[in-house]
Amino acid sequence: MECNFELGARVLREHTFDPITFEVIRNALQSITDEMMLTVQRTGRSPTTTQAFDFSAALCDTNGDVLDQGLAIPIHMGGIPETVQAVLNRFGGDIHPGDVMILNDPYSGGLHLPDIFLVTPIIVEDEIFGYAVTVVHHMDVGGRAAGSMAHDSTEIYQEGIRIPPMKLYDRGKLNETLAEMIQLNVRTPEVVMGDFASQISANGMGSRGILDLVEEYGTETLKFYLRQLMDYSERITRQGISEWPDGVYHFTDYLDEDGLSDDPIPIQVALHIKGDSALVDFTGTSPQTRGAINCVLSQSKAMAYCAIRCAIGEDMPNNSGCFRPVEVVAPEGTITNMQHPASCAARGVTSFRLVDAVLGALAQVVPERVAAAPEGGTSTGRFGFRQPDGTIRVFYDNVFGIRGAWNSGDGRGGVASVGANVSNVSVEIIESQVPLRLRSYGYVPDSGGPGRHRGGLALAREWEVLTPEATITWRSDRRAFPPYGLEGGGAGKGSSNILKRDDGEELLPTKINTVLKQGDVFRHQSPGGGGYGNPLEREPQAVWWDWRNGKVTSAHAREAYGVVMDEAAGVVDEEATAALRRERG
Amino acid sequence: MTTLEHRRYRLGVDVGGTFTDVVLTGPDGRMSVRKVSSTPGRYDEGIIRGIGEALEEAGVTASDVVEVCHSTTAATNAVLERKGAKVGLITTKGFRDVLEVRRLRTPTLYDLFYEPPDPLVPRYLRLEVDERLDAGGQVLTALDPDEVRQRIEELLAEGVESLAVCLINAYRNPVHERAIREVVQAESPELFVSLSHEVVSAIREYERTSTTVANAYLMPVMNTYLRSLRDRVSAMGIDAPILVMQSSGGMMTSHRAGERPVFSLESGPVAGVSGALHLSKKLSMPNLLTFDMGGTTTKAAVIEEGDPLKSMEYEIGAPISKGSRLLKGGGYLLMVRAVDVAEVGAGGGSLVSLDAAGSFHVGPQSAGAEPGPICYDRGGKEPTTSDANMLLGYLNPEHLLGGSLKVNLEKTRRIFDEKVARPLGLSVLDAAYGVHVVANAAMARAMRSVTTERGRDARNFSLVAFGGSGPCHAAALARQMGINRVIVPTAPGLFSSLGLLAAAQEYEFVRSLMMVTGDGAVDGLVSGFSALEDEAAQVLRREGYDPKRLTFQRYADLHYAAQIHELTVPVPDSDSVQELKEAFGQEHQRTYGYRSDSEAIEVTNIRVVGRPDVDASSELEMESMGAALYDAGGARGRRKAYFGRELGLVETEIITRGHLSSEAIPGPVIVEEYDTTIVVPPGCSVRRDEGWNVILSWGQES
Repeated sequence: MECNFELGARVLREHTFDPITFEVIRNALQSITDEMMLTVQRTGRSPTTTQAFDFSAALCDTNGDVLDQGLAIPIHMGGIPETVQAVLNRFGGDIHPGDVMILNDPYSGGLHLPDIFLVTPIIVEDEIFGYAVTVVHHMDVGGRAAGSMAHDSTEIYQEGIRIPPMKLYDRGKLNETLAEMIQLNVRTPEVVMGDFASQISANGMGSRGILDLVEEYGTETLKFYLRQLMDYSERITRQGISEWPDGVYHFTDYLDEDGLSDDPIPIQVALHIKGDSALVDFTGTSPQTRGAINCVLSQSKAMAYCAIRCAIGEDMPNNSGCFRPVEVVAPEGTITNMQHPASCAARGVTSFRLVDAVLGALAQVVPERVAAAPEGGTSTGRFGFRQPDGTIRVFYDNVFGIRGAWNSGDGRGGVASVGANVSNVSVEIIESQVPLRLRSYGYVPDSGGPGRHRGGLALAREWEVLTPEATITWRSDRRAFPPYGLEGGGAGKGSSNILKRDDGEELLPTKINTVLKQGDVFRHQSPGGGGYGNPLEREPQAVWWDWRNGKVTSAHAREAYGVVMDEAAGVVDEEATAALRRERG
Repeated sequence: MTTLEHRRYRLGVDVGGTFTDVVLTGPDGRMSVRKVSSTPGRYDEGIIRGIGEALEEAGVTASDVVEVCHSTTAATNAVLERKGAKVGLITTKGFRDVLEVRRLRTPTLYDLFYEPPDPLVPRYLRLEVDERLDAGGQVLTALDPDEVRQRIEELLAEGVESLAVCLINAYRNPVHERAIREVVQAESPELFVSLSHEVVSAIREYERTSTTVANAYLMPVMNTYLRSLRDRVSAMGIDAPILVMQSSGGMMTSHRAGERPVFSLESGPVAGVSGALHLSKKLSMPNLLTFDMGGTTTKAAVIEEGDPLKSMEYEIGAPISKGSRLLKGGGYLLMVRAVDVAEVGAGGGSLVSLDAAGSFHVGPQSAGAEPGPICYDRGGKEPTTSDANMLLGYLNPEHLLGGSLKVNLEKTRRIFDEKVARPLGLSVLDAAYGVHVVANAAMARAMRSVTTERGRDARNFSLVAFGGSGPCHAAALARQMGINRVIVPTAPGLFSSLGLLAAAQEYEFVRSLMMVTGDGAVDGLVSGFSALEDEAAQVLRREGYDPKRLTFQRYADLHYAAQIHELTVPVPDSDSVQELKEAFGQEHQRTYGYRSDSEAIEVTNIRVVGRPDVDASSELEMESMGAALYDAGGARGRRKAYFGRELGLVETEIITRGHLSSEAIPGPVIVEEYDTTIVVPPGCSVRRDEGWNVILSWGQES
């Protein structure tokens, strides 16, 4: 954050800590969580870990409060304290060196079944100092569809193996009963077990890192500074919020549907700003749905925190202190606080929309600190291929990374969502590993929301199936309710799913669970980002540059921006543009 | 051998953003050094001046120089300043936007306004051709030369000077990329061409495209630069080859460097590592951690068992981070095997700041060379690391650089008190000490990212400290990291240019080879290697080497099936798959703490490194240079230096390297030299070895 000697000095006078030790420990802690993250990424087996970065690593104290989380997935951030709490409730005083606890059940502290948490105690002289936690989005956890991400399961029981808090390792000894149960219930046992090994290795690294710090500073001093780090993040958050005008701000965003009915799904936010704290109230949001897009409470909290942190925009240590000034209300039985036995595999689509909805409210508080809506998070899917030996190969792919425009810049196509800083998957890697061929991957002209600043262009990707049969589940959204613009900017273009066969093209629903045949080409086009400001105020030269680069056609330039291109000369027809803009303006 | 024997002078020329360092070494162990200002825009001006002065000072005739070894920031600066060529890209139909979409991940979190750097080739200069290979390299859609011709005409009409070609799956079969070059040669032979399978033949289309485009972007610039340098050096009467440092640590001919500029982008930082590697061999210390602290940043690298650790890819042009390897995506990605140099934004000129929530930082903002720290009295008004070191009594309070730079201690104390000490509620000395410690904490992150993050324990290494500020921080940093021994080599401020003279010529060739180890895989591996060696020999013959006098070493990139990230291991001579699996298992265990012997292993790339049997770098004798550089003693002095609250202000002896002997003396001691200051805190001891290296030790030396 900005250098401010005066304010900083006041804080230091009020708190008695040594700013030097503080900074040294902060650096060390961040190195440790980085190390944990890199270990998972480099040694993992699934494309979700090795390529997409769909995992998180954190260090927690004995309450489960996050001391530091590696820099990847805000979506996971709120889930970790709940997980550790669940483990403590189950095992309390029965935790020993060599134990590794496991869980994935959303009704017992998890998020959705594919996210499997492994928790390793950090033990200093027979006492638990805290926990090293990793959560990986696993390739498959069983259930109805390859990849365990079907949107059309209606009960949690259909979604795969549910693991309550258990010990995967008990004092260093593998719980073979549990391991066998898991391996038998998932389609990709080697990949899942390989990812477990990378998680355990990362947890070990985190634990060793903390033990080194204990050796250096002693338990009490280290604990003191870890608390100071949380207080520090809390202070930054409070300072940020206190600059915002008090009031209650409302915003409603929508999911297209749950894939099982056509009803739009409202997400309603009332954002209360008072002094240096905020309350995010989701009351009025849709009841939980039959389709698998429901969130547990900790998930909804994480997304509200994420939005607020974006609007604060300060760099701060990634710990539970950031959340203290923010309260979240989500009524039971809604998609923001699902109750048993609701299904949730595809809850990501809701998570991202929760961020958009809270940001929509924040745009009224601090319009210059918020961008127009992005693509709505990852459009993502799982392919399943039956192998000659009867096993099923599962592969993952996604399309996302389109930002909304903001007060002083265009949205970009090619930048991960704030909700999940994950990566796309290499075309050549996919083709070398599974029977798919990518036909194309690139921008869709005219798809960005018009504005003084243009929304990012949608991305489209096409897969051709090279094997007699492949299963696919694909989840997308923002077709009927495309990404909103701000301050007079237009919405981005909505998404589409198209199946191309020799006999023609077919528009598929936003969420599908189906079988593709050899030669079928599936095309997903993501939404485009929302625009910011009046498009008639966009610099004609900026429209020209987009036109020159094939990002905007002449027709769209005229229609959306009031800019007339002289195609033959390759320049803006300035007179005609001025006339047209006068007429429109 | 001819009379050349006694006239073998070699030049090392390291061009940085601020200074151009020239080192001249001769057969008698004599050394002459020169530090001149760099001349951005026309770097060869500064080089020629520096060489001229070095030769004159040593009284050496230009014709007695047999080799000029060079590292330069010219290419990196061309990227940073966007002064590369106008590049056109030809790619497979459907994949025009791969370059711009990138890998999506951002280097900052919770940032709604993140903007990645603009692609080096804008979309209108990225054109597609209708062709396709499958993942096995089979042609699915044949390339149409007429279409290629048309695309090239379009690009030429736009004024493109350099062409990049990257086709999907070309790493498996170069046939279409080669066909495109044939069309270019027929149509427009003067156009620079970079083909992806030649620049880096490895899987992953974005990484390969990005690397190929960067190569194309730099090719015209580096060609012009190196040709002009060759002409001007030769006009001075130097009839010797110019060799350029590669990011991987070896030297290559300047001709090759012009064709493959992406291989030399890290030449400066790596030159220092090369110097450390030389020390590692001479001192029989196989495990070293390099600590290169300059004005703005600090760089760290690891030498383990006599080899620098390398990484498979790196980024250029990214904003300087706080050292996290996770914060990727801010620069231009290069899939080039390079010495793994971690960099953090903490150096002598780093600014001290305090944020509104009460946290105290050093860097990454820097006062730069201008206006610089307050103590240099050139207009600097913001406290920096160097100012803290001055107030602590570590740096000479009257003058620096052998008296050529006057110091303003009073002003430094006044501003530091007002801006740092009082807000922190500390005395000036405690605040200054805090800056020293926090700078070390930031630098420790760089150290950890090359050691702990790769499964190495820093405590098993000795620290080699160089760069202007490194020796001032080294002892305290080592202590913080649990490292017992620090080596400060001779001429630490010119260590990179010396490192150039220590590096051997080396050429790496890579081929993709998706192959699962198992029965029958041996044949493919063996034939893959011999084909690659044949190709390497051909290329090196064109570079002027006698293929009979080359030695090839084999490496393979491996991972467990379904892993994506490879580890590179040397391939045993026996071609036994079992041994290969064992070597990989050991490396995996060492890096990640476990191995999984039941799993199949995939070979993704094979690598061949060719080296000439005779190499002048083996003649470098740093030992004899120390005697030439340092005199036996000089005046001793004393001043008070501050070593934290417990020890307080301590009367400290000020000496020169000449005063040291093989007998260790206890700290506190400060060793002042022309371009650096070595701080030996209480509890640490210092001695000099036979090679004039200064050795600091915490506790008992093992």
